[in-house]
Amino acid sequence: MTAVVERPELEPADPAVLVVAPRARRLNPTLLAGLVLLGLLLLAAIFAPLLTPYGPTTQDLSNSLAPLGGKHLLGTDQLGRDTLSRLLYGARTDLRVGFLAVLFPFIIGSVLGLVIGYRGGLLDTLVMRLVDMVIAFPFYVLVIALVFVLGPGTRNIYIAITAVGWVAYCRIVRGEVLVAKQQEYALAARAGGVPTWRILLRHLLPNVIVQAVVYSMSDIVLSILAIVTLGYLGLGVPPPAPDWGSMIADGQQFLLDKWWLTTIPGVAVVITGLGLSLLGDGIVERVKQT
Amino acid sequence: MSTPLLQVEDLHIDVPTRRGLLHAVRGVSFQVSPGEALGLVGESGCGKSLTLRAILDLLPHPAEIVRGRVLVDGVDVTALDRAARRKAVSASISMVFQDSMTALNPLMRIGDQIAEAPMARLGYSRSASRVRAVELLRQVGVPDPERRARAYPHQLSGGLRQRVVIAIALSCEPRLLLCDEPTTALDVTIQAQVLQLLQGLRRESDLAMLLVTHDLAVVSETCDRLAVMYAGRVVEDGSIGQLVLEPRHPYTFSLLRSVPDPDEVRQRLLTIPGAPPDLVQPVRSCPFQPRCIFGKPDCGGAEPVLFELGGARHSACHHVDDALSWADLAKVHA
Repeated sequence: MTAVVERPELEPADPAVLVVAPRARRLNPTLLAGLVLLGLLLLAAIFAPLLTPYGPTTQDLSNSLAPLGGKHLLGTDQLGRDTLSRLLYGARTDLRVGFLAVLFPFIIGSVLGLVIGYRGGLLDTLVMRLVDMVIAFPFYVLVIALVFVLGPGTRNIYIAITAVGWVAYCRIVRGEVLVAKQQEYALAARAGGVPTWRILLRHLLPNVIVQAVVYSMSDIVLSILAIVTLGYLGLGVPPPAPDWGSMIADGQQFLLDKWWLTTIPGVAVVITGLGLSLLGDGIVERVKQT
Repeated sequence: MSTPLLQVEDLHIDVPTRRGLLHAVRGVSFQVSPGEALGLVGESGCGKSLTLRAILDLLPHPAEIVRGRVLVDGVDVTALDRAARRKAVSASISMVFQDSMTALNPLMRIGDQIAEAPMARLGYSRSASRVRAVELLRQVGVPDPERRARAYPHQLSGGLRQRVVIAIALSCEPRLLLCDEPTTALDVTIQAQVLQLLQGLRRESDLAMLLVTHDLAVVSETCDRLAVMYAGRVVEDGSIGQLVLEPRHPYTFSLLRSVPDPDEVRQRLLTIPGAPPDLVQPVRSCPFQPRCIFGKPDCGGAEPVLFELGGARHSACHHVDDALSWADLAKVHA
């Protein structure tokens, strides 16, 4: 008797489909924590008018230096302004300025790094020596000195941070380009007569920008800290606009009996920094995986 | 006789190093006629890859051409400025790179990568170049080309990727294909497939080929003529049949002897002892003499030049005339 062997029908294997199947992508805990913290902060900043009935600059001198709890949840400052309002509206200022102050150096530094890394030669040498000069100074010293010279105000903060911050992006991108331009796909494009701008934009930029993006996450922390520091030194966003740095500075004189005036904006800075750092680390981890 | 497609004349390439100028290529000359396949073999560091890159103006910094000319269709392209040179060369020559892993941009769909050069150089529209990309993929034997054109490089196997690299090289209808060890990164079965593909392409479109490799088996299967390089110079050239059957330079002889023979079961793999000379130092004698099994005391006198042997053959050995007895001599040595 012949045994009937059941043969399972073999699906014709389709290698492309098999390989294309996306790997399970799970958010790593670091990235998740960073996203949650930062998301909450952003929501608080966006919905500030709904979360608090008081305006950030509305003064109520009869009710100044009110304690925690009561009508003003986080108390008031010496001019009777609601601390919670100032905290939430301050997040709007500081986060916006922080992000924008990273965007400009990111763009300028990356483009410059891309060009000099690819071209090399005299331009490369000159720009890199300039980079060395800027890096030789501590970040804060240079930013504070620049804002001091230019005068306080949002625009001048952007200018100062951009003038100092671009060097990091320039170095990162240049280094990556030096490697990438010797890759055979870049050589192949060159040999094939593809125009230089196209090689830069389509072949090199997408392959080198990841490192700059990762760095920009930690850079936002630095830039927000810089803005808060400038505000504390009276060089930041001019009053009466709310800003965490000036809140800390204003509350300083009452530190002994009204400690919350400085502590609460301080904690806000710490949480922001923590959220951004976690986000940056999470992205690094994510990039390493793939 | 028609003008050769590519002529390299007395090419010298220097590479500045910490120890001094490294004379990596020291007067290499060869030519490739339309439809002809020339193999360039030699061990690592003999200057074969640099020579290839110099033709396309892709020398890695800080290497540079210090003397000699590269002529494409009789036009000296080394005299042109960079943009004109690139245009003149890429019009008829393109290159197949060695490592299909790095020869493809990991972040670009392969269809777009193939379409890029026709769009930039031949003025194809976006849609026309897409059609062309699929057509090229089909030509190099990629199954299901419409869908593969939308894939990213990491989604393809090594063999398919190498086919894509060839498709890119073919995209501007070159008349000469420079191949830098096109099969080294592949396993043997895929190697055979890729070689077959290259052969087929040559027959179909009368494509000339310059194949750089250290694999003599690959060369003898694919090429019409062979140039053997040693220490930055061509030491022997001629037709494949001549060189393989009766080499007239001891280096070629030793190279051929170190190819394992599949019929011989218990054979010790023969090697060439020693290492090539340091090219930072000036070469004053036959550079192969220290490693040559037929070396004689008078080989140290001067560096031999290429002797004309008739039948378009050359050899740079002081004792070319003894070549016929080498096979017997070698037996004694072994």
